Amino acid sequence: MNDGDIVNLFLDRDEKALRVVADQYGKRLHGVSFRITRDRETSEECVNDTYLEAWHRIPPSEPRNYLKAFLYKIVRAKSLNRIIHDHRLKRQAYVDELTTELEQCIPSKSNIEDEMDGKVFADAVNRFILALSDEKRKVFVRRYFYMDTSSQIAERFGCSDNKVRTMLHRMRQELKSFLEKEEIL
Amino acid sequence: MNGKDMLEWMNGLDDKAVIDADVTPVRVKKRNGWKIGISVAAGVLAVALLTYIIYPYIKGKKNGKPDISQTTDFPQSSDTSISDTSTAIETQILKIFEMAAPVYPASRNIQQNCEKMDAYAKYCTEITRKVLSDGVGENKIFSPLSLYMSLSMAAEISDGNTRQQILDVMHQPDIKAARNTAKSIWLANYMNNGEDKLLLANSLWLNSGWTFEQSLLDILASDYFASSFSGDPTDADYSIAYREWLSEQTDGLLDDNLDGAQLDPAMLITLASSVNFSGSWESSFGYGEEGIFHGTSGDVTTCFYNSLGRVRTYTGENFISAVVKLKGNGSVRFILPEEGMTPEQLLQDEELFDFMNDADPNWDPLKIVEKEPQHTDYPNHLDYPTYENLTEIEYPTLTMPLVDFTSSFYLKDYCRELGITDAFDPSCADFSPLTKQGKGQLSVDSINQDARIIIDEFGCKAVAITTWYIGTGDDPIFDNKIVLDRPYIVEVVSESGLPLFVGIVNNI
Repeated sequence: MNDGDIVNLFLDRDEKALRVVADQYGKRLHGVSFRITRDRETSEECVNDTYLEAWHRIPPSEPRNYLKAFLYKIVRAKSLNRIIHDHRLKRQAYVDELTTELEQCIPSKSNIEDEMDGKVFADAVNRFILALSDEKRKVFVRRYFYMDTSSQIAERFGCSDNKVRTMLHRMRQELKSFLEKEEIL
Repeated sequence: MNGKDMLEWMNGLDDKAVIDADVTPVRVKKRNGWKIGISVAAGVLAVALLTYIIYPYIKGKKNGKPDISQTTDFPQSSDTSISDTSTAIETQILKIFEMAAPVYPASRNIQQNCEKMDAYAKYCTEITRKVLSDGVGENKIFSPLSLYMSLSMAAEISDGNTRQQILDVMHQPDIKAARNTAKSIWLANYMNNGEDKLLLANSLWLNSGWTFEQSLLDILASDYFASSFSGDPTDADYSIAYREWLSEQTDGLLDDNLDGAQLDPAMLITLASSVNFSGSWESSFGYGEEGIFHGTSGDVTTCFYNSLGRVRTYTGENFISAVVKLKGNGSVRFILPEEGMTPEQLLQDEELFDFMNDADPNWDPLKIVEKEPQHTDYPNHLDYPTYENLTEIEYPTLTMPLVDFTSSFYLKDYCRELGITDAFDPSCADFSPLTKQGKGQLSVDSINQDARIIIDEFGCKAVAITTWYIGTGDDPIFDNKIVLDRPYIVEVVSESGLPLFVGIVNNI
């Protein structure tokens, strides 16, 4: 069943929509969540919460052309929320690693205490990554959206860990320059 | 605003970019078979394979000589990497890149040494515990032998502390001992009787842009039976030859996993070590009946098969094991943890590894039962009962489901945990015996193993391949295809190298 038909089921408030989504995207959603939480039970809960939230958000949302991304973003947000607030999961060190990396992208003249609009930031990052090569963009998204480790990225793309780390380091420097130039932060 | 906010805001990334990055991994490709959730069997079977592979090898530990009941046919050809079924084209491709080829001995060297076996057992216990303890609840199959052979070759091509750390993991005092052990393992185990076989193969894939010590390649060929190839890793044919080699050594059983395998364009050395095992049960299994397998992912209804032949058992404090013999090619031990204990928990049990490393453990006694009197038809049709042989041995029965699954392991971290660190650090890694170039640049990028096991009512097949990628850690290169699908610069250069025109293409 294509995404448009699935969204129509949601719009018709047909509970079959949840079954179809679970069949078509359940495993992948579980994978996205598990990579972040590293806990099978938690990822199971996040995926179930994702179905529920999708049920509440469609309508008004109608993600006919981007249902997969729509679901991924929900499950990512839920999983990230869990690892930040659930210390049992012991993922704090990994979150700290990622946040430290991202803070390297904040231009030096910016005040870290400044209020910032998340949408403005995301739009700027989107402009930045869309100008990157296909490979670099994928690596960036794997690291900061899917929250993969550098070795997982290396394995996924069949290259070395060192290469991925080098690439990410350079992209962070480029993003910092880009944000400075765009005066985003 | 802080890094955590930024991490959360990444949820606003472009939908297409998010989906595009959800690419299938190049090498991580698991078969669907494991999803039936038979993790208990997975742990048990992984352990069984381990036993199965080393069984013939360590069999001679107690009685001073290995099992010679199985006749071993060594290939007479000097080229192990080409099977009889290889096409001429495949052969040609491999030959193009070949730098060194092993020459096989005419007969098997069956000398064994208890010290060597103990060292291998220690290594086996440590690495198996590490590797199989991870990924709780998943099916896993790992070959310590495949990793061992690759570790030994890695020790051979390295020097100084890099080598010593590898030798320590193998529990070998020096490179000579490691070389002897690897060779004796190879010679004592390699067999090929058609359907029943244990084929070991090693190879090195070198970057032709570098200079390598031919004398070392010759040692690898003579003592590790390793083929060496040299070529340009960006050359598609070289990658094809590499894939062909991997496929040939594993009878195509890992093709799903190895489909995307290609030589990293930045690689200097790729080292591969394979184990290919196949054996038929001494007595096959009979079809049983449907039953429920209680896996970690839930209950699954499946067919269970009952043993028809001789099965021995071993009862440990926390487990029970059943061993089923294969025709002249070892056996498979199925090890079931006690109720309430997972296979991963059982891996911490000392008795388990004592049992697994023991070629001839103290099997449970067999029951002697009284037979019913047998009626024999006599030629004169007088129906006399016979009272001879009124007792018989009652063998335990084993009921098992059929399994077929694949595992992929990234072994670098496990090796690091066991003490190999210098090989992964370009500033410390020393590969000078193989090449004098690239000092301070070379390091091991990854160590991967793909393995598959199939156990059915007829026998067991298992294959594994361990690969090491050693590179220079240069800028990332994902493939050798350049697509001009965005603005680019163009330069026209003369024969002498003089730039004649330089331009930028922004729009088409």
